[in-house]
Amino acid sequence: MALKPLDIFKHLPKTNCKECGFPTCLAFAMQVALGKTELANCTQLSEESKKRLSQASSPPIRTITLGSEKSKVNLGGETVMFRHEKTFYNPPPIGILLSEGLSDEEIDRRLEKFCSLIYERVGLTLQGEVIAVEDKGQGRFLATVKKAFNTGKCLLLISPEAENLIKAAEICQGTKPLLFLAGQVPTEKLAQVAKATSLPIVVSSNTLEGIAKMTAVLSDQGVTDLVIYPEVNSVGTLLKNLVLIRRAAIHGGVRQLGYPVLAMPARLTDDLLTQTMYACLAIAKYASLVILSDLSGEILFPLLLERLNLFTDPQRPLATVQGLYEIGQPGRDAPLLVTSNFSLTYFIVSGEIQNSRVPAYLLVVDTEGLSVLTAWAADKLNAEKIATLVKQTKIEEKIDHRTLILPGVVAGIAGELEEELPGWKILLGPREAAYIPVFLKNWKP
Amino acid sequence: MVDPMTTCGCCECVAVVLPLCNGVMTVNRDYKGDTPCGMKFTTLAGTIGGGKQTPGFLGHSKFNITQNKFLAAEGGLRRLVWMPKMLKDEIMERLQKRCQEIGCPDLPEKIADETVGITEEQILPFLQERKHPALEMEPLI
Repeated sequence: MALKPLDIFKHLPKTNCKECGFPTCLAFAMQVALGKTELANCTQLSEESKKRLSQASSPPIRTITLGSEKSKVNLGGETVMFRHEKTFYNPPPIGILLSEGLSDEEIDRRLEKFCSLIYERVGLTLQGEVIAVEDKGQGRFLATVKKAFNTGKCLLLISPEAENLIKAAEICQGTKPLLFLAGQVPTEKLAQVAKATSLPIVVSSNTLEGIAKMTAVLSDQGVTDLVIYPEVNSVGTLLKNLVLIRRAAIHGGVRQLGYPVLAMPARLTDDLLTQTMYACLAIAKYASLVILSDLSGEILFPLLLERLNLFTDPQRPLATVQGLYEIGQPGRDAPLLVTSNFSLTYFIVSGEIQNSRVPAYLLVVDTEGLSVLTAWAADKLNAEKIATLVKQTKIEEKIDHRTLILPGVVAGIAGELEEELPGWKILLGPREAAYIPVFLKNWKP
Repeated sequence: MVDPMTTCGCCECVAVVLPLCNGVMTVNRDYKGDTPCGMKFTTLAGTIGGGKQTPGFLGHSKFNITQNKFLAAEGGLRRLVWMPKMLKDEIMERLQKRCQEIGCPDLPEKIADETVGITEEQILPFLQERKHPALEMEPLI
């Protein structure tokens, strides 16, 4: 948990010496708590206080980075139990499992399918990020790792043999895979592999106590890039463990469990739809990486949307950049519409303009992420703002007519807008975006 | 002040602990100058606004200062060591009445304002000289 100013203040010298640049120790503590200045700026802080404070202010759950510059994903790094307390930071990557038990054709099919599932929504690219490759001692492990590596996705490498893992890691030059030494492995062995490869490694056990003991030993040896995997045989235990781990790390201050958590619905059942339900639960409840056995569009897409919904920062409304947008290839007699910059509004309005197949100009006003009617009520969408933007974007040089189409719900500002824009005709558009296609088809300059 | 009541940020005043003086200061929105805690009202409002709970920082109303609930856990009005003159003058009538009630009729004259000082070091001698009750109370931190 983030430190409160008074907790920090208790460790400060309380001399109000002002050497840190702040008038009082309390003001300094406040700024440190807000993350706006560094503890090191206090010149009189004792070594002991420094150590205790830096320990207490380090994040409760470690962040582990996987992949290459291009395919980078972050695991963990969360600071709260519930999104409304602040926000969730790192969406859990979703992936498929390529086990050696599968035929070559099946492996190729799953890989190809997985890589083709890419969705563009609300200006974002949504896709699965991770491929897990599992060694079952049939000698094809490294060949499969090569195939998976060539897709450019992040990798999770699973093998009971330390040498195989190290070899597989060598294949993945220039990227950071996650290693998983499967089976009952002595902690010493884990430390060796992690040190030999300098890669993050999975710590697994069927009890949380077992995991905590191992991570304690490993972190004492300086191996701290860890992902924990509680082995479970039912979805109930999976949920219980996920919740306990997060609660222990955030509220209990249990450093030994303050690591990202791997969840593998693929290991719980062979039925893909049941796996999907388990994955849904794991994404909502604290998993940092979710592996299913296979993925198809109807399975992956809902999971991606669930993840997007949960991991979108609730503190910031999604907004589109203010400006003049061209939809289709608008000519000199194309209609000109105006709307707010709330992302959802923008995507719905521009979508409906596209549906109309009438090329048009769309003027997006910066309403600080508020929708049309809300922005109007807060005086963030007013005649003055629209008129200023009309002049700024020099739309008059692009079109011959002088008609501006205003959203029907803000009819009230039409009069003012005509005053602000002499020579312009303000036309009321439909009250709802759904009627834009009909409206535009009948529109004449 | 350990689990302070939340505010949206539109509170009239913000109270802050002053560790050196073993007391609490409060500042109203209209007072634009520096305060003994080293932060102006706007900075303070940022620390408690939006429902944030920051121990040692409390948003409240002007009226609340003279209510019996004010700083109840810390010993009430007796903890108040500094407030802007304009605020003091504004609520003086009620302040005097409340001080009578708690048996410290001379407390209003013991509370410092910006004419005494705007740092803890400046106001502490004033509080000591006038024997402000907060100095005798149990430690805040």
